[in-house]
Amino acid sequence: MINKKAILNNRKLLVSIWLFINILALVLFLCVDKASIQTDMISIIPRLANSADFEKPIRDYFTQSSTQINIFIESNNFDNAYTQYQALQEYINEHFPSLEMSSGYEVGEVMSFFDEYKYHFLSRNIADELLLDNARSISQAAIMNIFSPMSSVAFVDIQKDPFLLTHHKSMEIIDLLSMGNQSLQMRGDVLVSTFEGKENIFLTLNIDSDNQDFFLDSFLPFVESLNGEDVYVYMAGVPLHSYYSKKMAQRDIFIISMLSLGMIFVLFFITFRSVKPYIISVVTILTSSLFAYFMTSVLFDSIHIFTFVFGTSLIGITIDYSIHFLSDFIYEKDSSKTLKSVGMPIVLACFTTIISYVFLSFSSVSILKTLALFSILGMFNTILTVLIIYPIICGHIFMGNINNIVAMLMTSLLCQYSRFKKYYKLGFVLASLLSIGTISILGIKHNFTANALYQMPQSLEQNEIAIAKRLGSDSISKMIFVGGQSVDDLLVKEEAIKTLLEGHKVLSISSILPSKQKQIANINLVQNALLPYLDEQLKILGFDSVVHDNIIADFEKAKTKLLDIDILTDSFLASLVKGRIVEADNRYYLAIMCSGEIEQSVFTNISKQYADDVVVFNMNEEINTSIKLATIEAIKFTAFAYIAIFILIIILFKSKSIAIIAIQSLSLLLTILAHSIFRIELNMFSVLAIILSLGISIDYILFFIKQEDKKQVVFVSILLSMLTTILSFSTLSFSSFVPVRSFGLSLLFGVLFSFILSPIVNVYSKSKSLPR
Amino acid sequence: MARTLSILVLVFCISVYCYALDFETASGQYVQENYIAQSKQTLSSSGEFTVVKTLGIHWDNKSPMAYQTIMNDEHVLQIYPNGQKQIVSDNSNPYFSTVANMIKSLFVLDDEALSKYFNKTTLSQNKYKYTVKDNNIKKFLQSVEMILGNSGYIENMKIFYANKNTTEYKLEVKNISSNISDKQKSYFEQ
Repeated sequence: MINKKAILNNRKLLVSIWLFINILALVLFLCVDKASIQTDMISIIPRLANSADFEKPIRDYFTQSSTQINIFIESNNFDNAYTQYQALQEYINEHFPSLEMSSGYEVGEVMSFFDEYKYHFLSRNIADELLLDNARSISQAAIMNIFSPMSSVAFVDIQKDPFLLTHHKSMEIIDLLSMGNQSLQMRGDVLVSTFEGKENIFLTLNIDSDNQDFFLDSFLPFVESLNGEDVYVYMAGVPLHSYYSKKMAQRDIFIISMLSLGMIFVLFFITFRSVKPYIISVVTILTSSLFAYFMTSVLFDSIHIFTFVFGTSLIGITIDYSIHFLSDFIYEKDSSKTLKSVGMPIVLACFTTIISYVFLSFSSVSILKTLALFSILGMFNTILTVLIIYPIICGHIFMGNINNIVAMLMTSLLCQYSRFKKYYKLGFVLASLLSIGTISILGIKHNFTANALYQMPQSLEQNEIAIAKRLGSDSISKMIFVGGQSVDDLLVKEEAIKTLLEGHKVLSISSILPSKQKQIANINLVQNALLPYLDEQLKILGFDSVVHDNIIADFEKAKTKLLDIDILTDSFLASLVKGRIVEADNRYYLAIMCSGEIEQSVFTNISKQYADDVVVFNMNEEINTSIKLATIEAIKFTAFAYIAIFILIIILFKSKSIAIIAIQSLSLLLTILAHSIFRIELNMFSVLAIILSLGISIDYILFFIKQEDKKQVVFVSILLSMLTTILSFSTLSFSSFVPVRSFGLSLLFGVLFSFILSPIVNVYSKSKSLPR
Repeated sequence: MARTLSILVLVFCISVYCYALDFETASGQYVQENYIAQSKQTLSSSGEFTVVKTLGIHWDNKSPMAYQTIMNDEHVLQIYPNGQKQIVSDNSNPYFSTVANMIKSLFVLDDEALSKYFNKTTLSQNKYKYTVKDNNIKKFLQSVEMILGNSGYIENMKIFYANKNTTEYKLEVKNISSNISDKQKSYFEQ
């Protein structure tokens, strides 16, 4: 009587704990700042190999500066393209008035800005001439310009700027803005490129990443409506990749979840001839997934959408624990007995899987860390539900019976294994030799490059190629990432580095916004080298002393007002600088883009001179190296995970541990063999999947060993577990994303081979024979 | 009958006039006057010009400074008094190359290019007004008034800018030809 009361009290306490944990997760989720859902592509890249110190700013830089969409409206007839351009402009102005849209640039705005800061922003040519004390040449050039058919009197107030400093700087900056692109021409108020005889109007859109989805949801159908017989709109840019990735990820999550749940329903119904075990299992999955989502949302600032795509595998893993409990309960019809029988194996199985996930979280791919925590939390909640709530539910609800046909089938299958009793050792050796032989003959295809992470959809790829052809600009060969204590410190460093890149094609922020030090130097240069020629210049032009006095007054005023990044806010330069300077850990960073061939010694020299403040890299090479290193790291983790789990097995199972280790090793060999035979490329994610495959598949052996006395029931539950897990991973292998596909496929093979081999562990058992 | 004859004479005159426009080169002397509206001052320069329809413009400035300006399809080149050459605008700069092409189309009387950049209105016999089509460029360069002389080539051309400044070209044509001389060709080979 006392015992029963104690059990009841214990159960109440456990249920209270279960409720408390779940309610706590919900309350935290509702009250604490939730993680944002990331869709950027840079998160799937492992930790950068050669630029580890700049990891965060580089990632932030790419996220911030990846907001531009390039558009070409193409037509045989300019007017047709222009009509569609106007329609697009009207649409943007009406629906998204705050969106930055530009085709070309407002030359007037450029001119008036530089007119105000003409002494601060000397063009490169003017500054060089003044440094060479060659002001006379500047003076001559100005006079030649004023009296030429292309006279600047239209653009510049020569009474304020007789040396045409504004004109020179504007020309330089406009040249810089057009990316040195000779194919783009101004026509009307738009930039036009003629490509293969067709007119292409070029424009750009800058989309705020927070409103990206909202904007593209309505903008893309509108753009589609612009396409006609004679007009075609090409679009490319990082926001489109993020948008389509997110859409595909959402589709994948939905399809994978629905397919898995649907097929699991069929399996459950065939096995138990009742929907109740299915409903209970699905509700468990839902609560576990929600719990995992709530907690990861609270613990992380952001979660990448790929975490959820990978996370759909949680269905296949957590449902196993429900299956083992419910199968045993249906057989025993007593929840206490079931708890005694499956409690320990479930905890152990969960523990081995958690070990795998822990090793997975050591990976340098950030999304795998979130995935590991998401899955561990999901599994934790599942075993709590199975061990605390299931005994109560099962005590009150009839769960059905195991289908006789399924039970007979399982018995017959198990009998087949007993036939190998005499030969299993020989079979192991032969299978291992055969696998190794085949693998060495066929070899394994591997891909440790960025292609293994992201393959863009065909339509996006076609658009990217079309835009690149029409723009015809040089690709960036190297990036020099510079760090500084302040924006000005950053600009000073950039200006110094630029001098080391003399004669090369370089795109830098200080060309647009010079440092204060440079501005002061420019002003002094004008004062010392150019203004002495002012009188002579004005005389040639025929201006009087009033013009002279005005110019001097204007110059004195300019000396007191230096340009700062904050002043840029309202100018056209703000959009150029915006997103190009990032702040991380109280430091500022920017990137100098280098195109064309530049000798490595130049970069080595820069890296040497600015050791702690500079990193030089090529993004593609950097990603490929990072992936290669991350894969080697993943192989090490796999080895460590196997060793850790095998040590645990040796401690727990002593005599049977050799058999378990042999089965798992052969299963690993067969998984690699399958990749080799089917010519499936091994990549970083398939290697990482092998870690998880051990953690999941070893569960089958654990259940066989721990529940030796009811092999048929165990085999039914293991078969069902295996099928649900395989269903889950095989649906992952149909995902649109290469990493998810590789991950799913490798896990599918690993789990399948482990399942096929796991009953052999009982052949090794001398105490009890297999059923006949 | 008289009416038919007058129409025939008119058609003949128009044909002759059109034929006269179909030149290859035109050369002579010019005076360029830049009027600065704010100070009501005029900056004058003068020299010799050569226009080759298929190649571009050669501006040989004599006063107030001796230098040359060559505008062709690719760039605007200036040659300093000491012989130093400098490209002041090329096709990589879309805005200024468009303005350069507009100016060039006026001097070479390229109807196709003119109709691309300007709306043409006839003010009186041989006097035309070209209004800039491009709203962006209109913010600087608004319109051009052109008077054709007896030779069929430009006699006077005045460019009106948005800042009220103007540039007026007074051209005295010395030679109009359908051939290009080697000397003329050499201007554009620099």
